[in-house]
Amino acid sequence: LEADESNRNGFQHSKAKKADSVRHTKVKTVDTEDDDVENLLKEEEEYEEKIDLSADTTGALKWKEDLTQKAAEAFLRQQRSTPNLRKLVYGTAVEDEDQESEDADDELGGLFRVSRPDKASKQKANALDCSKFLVEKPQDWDLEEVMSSIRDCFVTGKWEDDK
Amino acid sequence: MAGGAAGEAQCLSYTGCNFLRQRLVLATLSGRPLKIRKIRAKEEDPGLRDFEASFIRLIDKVTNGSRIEINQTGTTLYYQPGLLYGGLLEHDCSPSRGIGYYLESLLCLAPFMKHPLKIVLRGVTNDQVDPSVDVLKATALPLLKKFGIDGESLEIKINRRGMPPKGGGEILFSCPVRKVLQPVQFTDPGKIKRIRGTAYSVRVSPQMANRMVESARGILNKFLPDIYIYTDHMKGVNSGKSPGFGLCLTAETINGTVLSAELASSPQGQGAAVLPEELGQNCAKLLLEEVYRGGCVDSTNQSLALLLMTLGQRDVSKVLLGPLSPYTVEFLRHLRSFFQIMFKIETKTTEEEHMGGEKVLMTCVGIGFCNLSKTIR
Repeated sequence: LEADESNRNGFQHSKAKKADSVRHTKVKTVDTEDDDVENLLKEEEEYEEKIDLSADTTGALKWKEDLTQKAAEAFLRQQRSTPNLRKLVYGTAVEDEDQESEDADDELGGLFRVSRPDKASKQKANALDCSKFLVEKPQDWDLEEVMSSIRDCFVTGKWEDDK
Repeated sequence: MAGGAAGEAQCLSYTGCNFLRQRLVLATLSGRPLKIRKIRAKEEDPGLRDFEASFIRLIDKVTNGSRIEINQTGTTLYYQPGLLYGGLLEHDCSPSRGIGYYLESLLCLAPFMKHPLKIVLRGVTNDQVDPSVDVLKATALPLLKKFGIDGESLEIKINRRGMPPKGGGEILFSCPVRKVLQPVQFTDPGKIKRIRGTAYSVRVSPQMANRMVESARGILNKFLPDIYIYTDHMKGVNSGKSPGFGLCLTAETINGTVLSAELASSPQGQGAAVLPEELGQNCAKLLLEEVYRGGCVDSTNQSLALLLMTLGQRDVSKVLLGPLSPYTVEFLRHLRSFFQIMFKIETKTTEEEHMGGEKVLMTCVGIGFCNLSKTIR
């Protein structure tokens, strides 16, 4: 509890300017004093809030806001993009057909048609018909690590024990 | 007409000129009529291009009784497929695309003809866009053999080489017919035992080919000692109408998988000039990229393998591929629309560290396609 007390003191000290928020913390900590862990967690929350406030006041370092949330979102985005391949292949075809039926409704007053600029999907519809799978990001095959990534694809590489 | 009405009901409709070939091929094999609208409808030069018109004429040649209707601006195409007929044919391909553009589709159709196909194609044998005849010869033919399409008459022969923009090349493609296809279990590519290749040059110094070979070897020798790259310098009438050079490389595994990469010089008067050394090095690196992707089928032939699996006997077929190319992904969607077949797609992460990138295991049950027009002797 002592450690907690000192912790809180330090906290108070650092946030002397923002009396309001500090009082808020104090009240909270007093309420739940019996659980140290919970205390710490709460203080952490408050600490984050403090950063928010300072960011608002200074106007600088705006990118620091919601860093954890941003990281979480980025992670989820990554998760979604790495594949359920089956969904990727067969799932999106239905959407394409929907879009197709939609563009029949692009008429204005039944007489004029709105000519929309080409969307990405439309571009694809009239793109080059070629079966070659182009390498988008070539790796640097002069690097030893890159070279070793395919080393065992060759008969000169390491073989599994059973062969 | 009653027949027309029945066809109307199952007519598939698409927009845009992309994937024209696979749509026409699948329509022909499934016997379903096809309508493609809005072909370059919003471009300054709307409608079908000369190479597409040439492709449609080719489809008309190899079939019997196809009905093809194109509207005045060329933006809408209606195709009611006839029967695959085959026989002795010849076709002048438009030089704006390589012969590979046409040959890829013929490879899909040829095993299902009434008479074995033997066709002479004229045009551009090697360019920067399409898979070259050399690569298709080295990769697609071994793949067809795996499905039981085999025999002496299966061959691609390059009589004359032709480079863009003028072309002037000539090849012979012949393929036997099969009543049914074997299902395949092709899940272990095996290790690469040798690298082969062709360095070709036409209407330039024959030394170009040697320079490409040297630089490509310099990179590939770090992985494997067994490398042989043929130099192919064609002269006179066999060298086509435009100058150029290029390199095709293939990596063969102990289990008969062939992976490929290729590069060609820019067409005369277009693009930046490329040094043969640079081209050789870049091509060797492309082959390493293809090895990194891996799988049992080369990335350009993924769709051919998936088609032959679909058309196989009613049995399970499995094949391990590298990452799916955008062309293949669209092909899978088309296979579903034309044949109501969906593949089981599993991502396989390689356990070992030095075996390249992620692989994809494709599994399906063949639809039991039967070549009814094949004559029995």
